[in-house]
Amino acid sequence: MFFRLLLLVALAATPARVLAQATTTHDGPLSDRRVSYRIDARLDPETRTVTGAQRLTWRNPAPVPVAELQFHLYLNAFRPGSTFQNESGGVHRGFSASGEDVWGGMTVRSMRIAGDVPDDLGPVVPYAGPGADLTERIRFIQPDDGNPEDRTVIAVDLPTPVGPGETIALDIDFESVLPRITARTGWLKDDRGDPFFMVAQWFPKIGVYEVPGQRYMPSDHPTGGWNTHQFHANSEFYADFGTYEVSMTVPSDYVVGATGLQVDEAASGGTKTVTFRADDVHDFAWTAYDKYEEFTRQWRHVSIRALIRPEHRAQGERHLDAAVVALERFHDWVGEYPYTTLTLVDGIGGSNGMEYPTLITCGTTYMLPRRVRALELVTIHEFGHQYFYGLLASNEFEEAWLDEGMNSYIESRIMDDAYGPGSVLDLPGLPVSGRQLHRLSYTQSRPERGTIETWSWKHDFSSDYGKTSYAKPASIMNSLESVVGWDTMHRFLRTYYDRWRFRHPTTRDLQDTMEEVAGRDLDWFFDQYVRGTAVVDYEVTSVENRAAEASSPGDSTRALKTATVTVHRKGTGHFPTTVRVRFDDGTTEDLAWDGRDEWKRFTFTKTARAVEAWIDPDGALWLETDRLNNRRTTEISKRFARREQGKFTVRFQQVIHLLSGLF
Amino acid sequence: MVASAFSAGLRGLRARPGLAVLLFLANLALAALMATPIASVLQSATQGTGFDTDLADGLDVGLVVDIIRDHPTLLSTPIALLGWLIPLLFAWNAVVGVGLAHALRRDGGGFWEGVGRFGLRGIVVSLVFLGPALVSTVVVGAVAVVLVLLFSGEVGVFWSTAVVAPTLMISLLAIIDCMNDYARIAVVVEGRPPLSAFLEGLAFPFRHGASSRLYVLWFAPAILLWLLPTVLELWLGASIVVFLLQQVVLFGRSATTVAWYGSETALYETVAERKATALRELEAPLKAADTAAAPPPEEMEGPDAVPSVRPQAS
Repeated sequence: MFFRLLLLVALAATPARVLAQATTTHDGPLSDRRVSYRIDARLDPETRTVTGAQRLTWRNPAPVPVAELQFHLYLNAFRPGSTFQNESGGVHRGFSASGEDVWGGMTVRSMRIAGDVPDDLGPVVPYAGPGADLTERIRFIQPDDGNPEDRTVIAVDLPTPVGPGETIALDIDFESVLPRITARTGWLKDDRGDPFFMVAQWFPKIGVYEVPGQRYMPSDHPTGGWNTHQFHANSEFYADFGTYEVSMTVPSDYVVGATGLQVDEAASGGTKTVTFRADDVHDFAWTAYDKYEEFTRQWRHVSIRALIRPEHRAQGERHLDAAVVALERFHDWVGEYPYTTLTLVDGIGGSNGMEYPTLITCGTTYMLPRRVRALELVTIHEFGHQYFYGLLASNEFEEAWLDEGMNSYIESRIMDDAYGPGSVLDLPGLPVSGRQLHRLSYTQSRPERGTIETWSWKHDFSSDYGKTSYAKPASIMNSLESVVGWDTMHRFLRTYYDRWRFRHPTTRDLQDTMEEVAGRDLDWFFDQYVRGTAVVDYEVTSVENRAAEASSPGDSTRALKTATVTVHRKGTGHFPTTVRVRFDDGTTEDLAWDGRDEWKRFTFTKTARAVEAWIDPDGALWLETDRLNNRRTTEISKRFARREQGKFTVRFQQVIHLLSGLF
Repeated sequence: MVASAFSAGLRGLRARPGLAVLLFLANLALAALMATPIASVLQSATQGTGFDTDLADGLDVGLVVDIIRDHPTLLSTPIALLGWLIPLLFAWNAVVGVGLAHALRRDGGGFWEGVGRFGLRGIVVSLVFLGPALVSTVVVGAVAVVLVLLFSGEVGVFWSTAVVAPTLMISLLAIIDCMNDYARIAVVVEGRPPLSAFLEGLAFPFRHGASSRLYVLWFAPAILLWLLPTVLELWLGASIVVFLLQQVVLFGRSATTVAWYGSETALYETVAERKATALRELEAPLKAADTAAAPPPEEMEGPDAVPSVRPQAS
């Protein structure tokens, strides 16, 4: 291992794309590699079409024969009438498309069982069935909503089932017409009118056949089952790990960025063919654009390559800096980044802010101020998906919080750790941190509505998807950290990574790992905040003092006072917290409170008077929906109001002077 | 001419420092009037919470959002204030303009006397200038749209909407402000009716380049003094000492307004005087010829009589 790393470091000193041939830091497979793809793709910029020839190899992981294969044709989400279009109304994260060449889609021209099975997956037991043309057997299915216009999933009956452990190879010819970008993939013209391509969800992709015992499939279930959801407005993806070798033919002046490591490049009459290889990943995306400017940096074994649009060249190094910030902390906090490449893409419009294995789209704006760290936030977040989605490959359709939410939790920690209190927005006098941003997103958007565990397209209110997938999970995990401590959280993250990388963990797996590491039952947490809609709102209702009753005349207890602090659980949820009581002699007492009782009184008998009570004095309860009522004091102070009066007075004086110029 | 007008403004300020005090106090009172309800809401929102001291030491966005949500009047109060504030400010600025011009002219009178004699006309003139201001806004908006269409893409949009359009808007408003100043001065110095003063104001900066140079000369310190309170706060934080320092600066800003008006009034008077002199010089030979050709008037006319040029009998 040491020598292998040494070799990687040595190779890094020379142009990595040409010489480095290792896609990961390990010699052998890191995952169980159920699939492999070899794709020859040709991009025609004029027609915005990718024509592909694909050799797919799939190993039946189940203990029983599988008679049907299912595939995602994700790109058909961009056809009129698809479930994606119906749910989104053609608008995704504020991006919409209009004009000509808006629509996209994928056509499988032919599908045949190959005569030979390549050894991409290692030694194989070849499919025993006959070679056959399956094209006529293809049928569209709609497992989620029955929408007949939706063509994002196909099923194909095999002439003979694939036996347990057998490997089948299929040759698939397809044509993908890229849509105008609204959601992640497609084409757009840049400011000069030149086409930009982000090619994602672009090839026929086999679904995940879940075997008994995998995820929520009962261990004693007689068969496994395909988990192939349609493409929804609020959902992402799910696939098995494998290997990819993809050759992309594009005009010779295009710069290509892709998942994995470039292993070859050949020019031929106005075009070039670049080949990328990626191992132990579960998707492959690429981009082609003739204006990219390239920024590179080496971080340990990782060759980082940023493809930046010319108008953002001043921010090229910022992209790399943010990537290194993320790499360092994920490496320390969660585990090793096992791949040798990382490509950052500065895309256009709705292509930005998306993750693919070893390739992420970031996104920025011209002249973005240094103190506005939107670029850093997106880059760190999308890099985080290399772990929560890439390595810990949960089902994004069904449990979006496991990737988006866990990643948002770590992303907010990294932002605050790397950039301080104003990590997201460093405005003078009003800093906004990563954790504050998530707390505000959660608490200000109907916190009582929508559960985290809801499948991504099944929310009663579509807007609840964002809250329950990103902000709420980040806030609950940041809050949980206050209960179990960072050390435990750190151990949990590393254990979860070690145990579940290159697999498909569930909420149950995450909870089991967390309980094991923390050494305590956490049903109270997951039931309320993951599976339920509990809301935390604590309030200090009163701080009262009275003379302690003397037991006899002349009793010294007459000097004692009895202080009573009354706290109220206003919200439906409970969370362990601290109540800090301050006395007029300068002393304080911190009391642990499990937060369960609706009303609770704390009584103190001391010579000092209680002057303040404060629930969650360290601000660790990021779930708290109203912090303003967490604290009460008997001392009257007008400092803040007076200071603000002074500030507002000056602001208004300035406004009056300004208006005198306008009037 | 610019230098002498500039000096005249400073002399006017030195001679009438009370005007700067008046302006400063009036602005302070108006500002305090607006700030007090907001401070009152903040006081009721934070009093007894214990967060008062923490917030005084530095804002916490989470608490600020909680305060705004729990106390919606924090936002609605200033918005409601604008309902009466804008008309009041409008009228106040108009009357301040004529009051200052009257007080600072060469043989000027009192500020309030000027307000009383010319205030209404000053307000009407300012109202009329809303027209060009509105037209400018529409023009700048149209220019911005055209620029965005011509230079689509984020670089073009940035320069069009964040640089070119604001610069154009500020420039146009500055020109209109300059015109408005001279229109008010015309009301005072020449006793012009509003429409005539408006037309005179419109034309003055174009006829007399010195007026633009003088405007720029005063604009620079005015903008610096306007920004300085914010810089002080960002640099030193908010405290009573900083507030007092800011008030000193804002007094300087008010003094600038007085001196600025004094300079513009002096320039206008100089121009008017030269115009009158030129007119007299132009009329003198005609008058002499007239006197030689015609019999002397049989009776003296009143003191307000304007010399006229009569056509000679052929």
